[in-house]
Amino acid sequence: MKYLLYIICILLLASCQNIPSDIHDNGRDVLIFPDYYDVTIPCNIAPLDFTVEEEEVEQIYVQILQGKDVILSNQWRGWDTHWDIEDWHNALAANVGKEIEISISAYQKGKWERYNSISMHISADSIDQYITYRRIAPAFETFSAVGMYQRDITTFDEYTVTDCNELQYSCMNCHATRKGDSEDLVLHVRGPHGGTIIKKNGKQKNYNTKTDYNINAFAYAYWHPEGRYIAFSTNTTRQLFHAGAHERIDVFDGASDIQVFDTETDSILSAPHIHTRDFENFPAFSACGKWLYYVCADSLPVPQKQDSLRYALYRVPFDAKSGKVGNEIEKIADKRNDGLSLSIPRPSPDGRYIMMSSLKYGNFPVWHPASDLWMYDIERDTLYSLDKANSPYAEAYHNWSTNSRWAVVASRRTDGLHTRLCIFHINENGEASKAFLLPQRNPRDTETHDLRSYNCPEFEVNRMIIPKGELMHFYDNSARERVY
Amino acid sequence: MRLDWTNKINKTIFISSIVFISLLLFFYFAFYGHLQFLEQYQLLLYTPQYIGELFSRPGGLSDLIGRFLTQFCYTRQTGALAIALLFLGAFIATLYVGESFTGKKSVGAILVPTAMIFFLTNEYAQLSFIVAITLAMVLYLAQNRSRSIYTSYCLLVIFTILGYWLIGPANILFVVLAIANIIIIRRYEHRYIVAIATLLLHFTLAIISYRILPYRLQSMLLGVDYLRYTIDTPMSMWLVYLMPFVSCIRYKIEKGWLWVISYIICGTIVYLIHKDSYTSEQFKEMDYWVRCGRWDKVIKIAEKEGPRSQLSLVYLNLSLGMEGQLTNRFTQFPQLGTRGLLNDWKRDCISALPLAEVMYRVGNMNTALRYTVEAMEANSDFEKSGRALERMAEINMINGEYAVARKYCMILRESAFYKKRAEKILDMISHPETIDQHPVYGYMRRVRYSEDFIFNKYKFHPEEAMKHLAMQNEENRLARDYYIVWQNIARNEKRTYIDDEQVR
Repeated sequence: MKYLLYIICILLLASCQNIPSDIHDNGRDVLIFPDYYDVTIPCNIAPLDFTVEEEEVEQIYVQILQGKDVILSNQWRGWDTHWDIEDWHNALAANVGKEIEISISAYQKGKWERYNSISMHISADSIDQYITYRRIAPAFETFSAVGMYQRDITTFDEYTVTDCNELQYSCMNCHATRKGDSEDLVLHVRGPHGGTIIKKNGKQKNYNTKTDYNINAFAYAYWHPEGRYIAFSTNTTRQLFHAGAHERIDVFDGASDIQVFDTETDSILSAPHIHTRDFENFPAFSACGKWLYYVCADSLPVPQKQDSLRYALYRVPFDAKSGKVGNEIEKIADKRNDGLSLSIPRPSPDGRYIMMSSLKYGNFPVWHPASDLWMYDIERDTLYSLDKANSPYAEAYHNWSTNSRWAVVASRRTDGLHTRLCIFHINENGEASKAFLLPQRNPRDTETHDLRSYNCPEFEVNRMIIPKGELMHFYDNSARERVY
Repeated sequence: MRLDWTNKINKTIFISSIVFISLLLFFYFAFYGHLQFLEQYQLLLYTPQYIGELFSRPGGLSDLIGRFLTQFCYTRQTGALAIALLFLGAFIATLYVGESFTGKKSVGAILVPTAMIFFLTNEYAQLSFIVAITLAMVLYLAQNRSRSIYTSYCLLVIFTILGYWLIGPANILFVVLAIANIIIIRRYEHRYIVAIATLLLHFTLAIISYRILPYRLQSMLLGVDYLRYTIDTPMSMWLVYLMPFVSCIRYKIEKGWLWVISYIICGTIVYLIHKDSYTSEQFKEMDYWVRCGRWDKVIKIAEKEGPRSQLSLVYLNLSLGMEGQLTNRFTQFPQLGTRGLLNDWKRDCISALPLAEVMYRVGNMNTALRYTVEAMEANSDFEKSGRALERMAEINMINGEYAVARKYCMILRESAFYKKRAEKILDMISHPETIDQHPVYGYMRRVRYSEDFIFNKYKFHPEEAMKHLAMQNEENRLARDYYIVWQNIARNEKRTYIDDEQVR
């Protein structure tokens, strides 16, 4: 009897690993989460695990094919794939630049059914190893578990840069690194223990950036490529609330300016023409460092006229040698006549494109369901929508990879509320491919349980580490460097 | 059969029974609001991820047991039973701890549940601390059973390490009790060196945890989850630490009547503590009945005691409104101007609750959602709230945001007490036509704002909002009553709505 039980157990175990035979083609597209249909993926991305969301799935059998060759296959109990990371990377590396097909068969109602294959393209363009982001609940005024995290996107590893358990009851705002190098970092912390951390060549200084000359402490930051200067906006940010059913909040600035900070002299450069009554915002240096891009709207009484507040893209020359902001303001892109406002300009590291958000009004796209990504081609002087990367929900906080071939965006596409990080490819012609969700080990389970939004993503080439001692010193010690 | 009172076990059972029944009655009749208050700011999920996260930091086991017991406070009966059992456990453990030092079960043990009640009246207190203290005593009793010096020292080291990780910094109680026993009672060899080494080991563990985990040193020394707000440590917490030692003192008089006197003194202390904190306890009691939809009970409490705080008054006025008595009876109770109709929100998780409830009932869905989210997000231990998530699911369902409502329900489905409600909402989401037919949700859909407009907190006039809602749908009697009463009260009041400016 005992031996019989052993045999039954061995047979049962063996049957789990058997390649299913007698699979019936059902000719249907399979419902999977996340949607990986027709995406272009980096050759070094983590396994694109997915959940088969068809009814009564007991087992799945997945083959990855290149042409007729099976390059990877596996069978799992349940509805989630769990590719081995090394096998996955080997399979991608061997098929760089090729189209692959994912064939999914599911054991349902006592029989195997094969669905139509899913196509993907493996791009030869690799992607930076890390993405750093902030996680915070999509709340109204208060916030609870806010933190900054870094994800290794070639695996599923996530590292805590800092979070609410260390910086208790403090809000961490947008961070910025220089050309994806975490050794040069800006991070704002708000609240009673607040201040701005600027790490340069790994050396940390803590600032109080509120001066008599700016309307508020520094906010949105962008490093000059050479590393001496950082452009900041200063904003008086306010919230508005919707009464109706499908929108919650709107955010606007009562005033905003741009200032360029010299990290060597701890001083703000004089540039009164980008520090006017108009609403200058979201500064960004060009890849060559010779231009400072920003968006600006005419000064209007807000919040009364906040739905008429529309921003256009401008630039001014910048000379890093003399530390001078040129006086010639040049309008680069303007969609105000089409009823669109442009926000968050992000120049590509190769200097060719500027990616932006477009929304109906204002500058805060994440709370506008209709906000989309647009691209400005500097060479061709054209502005166009990145339709393939966009969704019916809000897209915001986009950023480029260091090789200018990939972009990350925080999108509300999964449920209309919680932002999730999506990656998409941009080819040499500036065309975007379909955006796909950053791979997760158990995608549906993670999506269901994660009540926080991912925002302000940035690609990095190295680990972001703020030594605990320095972080605690920043939090516990109120001494801050002054800004002149 | 007659009980033999000279039998130690019978005596212990009798005393424990008296303590247990007293605790049960206290928690059921006098402390049910507070227990529900504890419960509503946590959401225990039966998922490996949730439980795994608890065990990834010191104190995971005590947190888990604390949360497991707290979930029973969802209902008055189960809550009182669960917490009384926990306190009984702490009491019995203290009896045996005292016995290990003095050879007798000491009356000092009765001070432990008393101090624990005092601790619990703190709004930030968590059950995990009570659990941790109890477990520390249990560890000590287990260690104390060893009879050889070698086993005793081995267990001391093992339980110091294991205890720190499983029950957290409160394991210091085990460490101190164990080394006190070794020094005073057992008088083992090298006892002083071992005592110092064990204390050093405990604090070294705290420092190592601080270095490797994303927590502050304070949390590693005082506990991550013993309090919801870890910046201040209340005196009552130190008293709880201290009380087990009181039971270790050998008293000169050990008579039966001493138990009676101690019981009466402790009962009086508990009564005084409860009386002293009744202003906030009354609000919590009303909150419990509001949550149950028992408006009559809220009115009854107010009729008996009068509303003791602004928040209680807001609940009273809401209950009067829900019972159709607001316009007739609001003058029978002391009012605080329009702040008795809608309180100011103080950016905390407590004052957001009545605002959320009033806004929901009058049909101001997005503002109700806002304050519900605030009630959850302002929770200082970053935990989610089952009650808030349930309401958020309801509002999103009413607003037709089914994907978000479904997400909340999928989470609630993994809890013990919210599962049923979540499944009902999920069922309605799958059949949206049933939402319109539902007596509450269908009504809410009819009376909520039918068009979108934008407002900010500087120009949000509740009076106008109530008027808008009342005129939009005549069925909305509550909004109409609020509007009428508001007008009545506001005549003599100039109220501004400028809060502190918020900069993000």
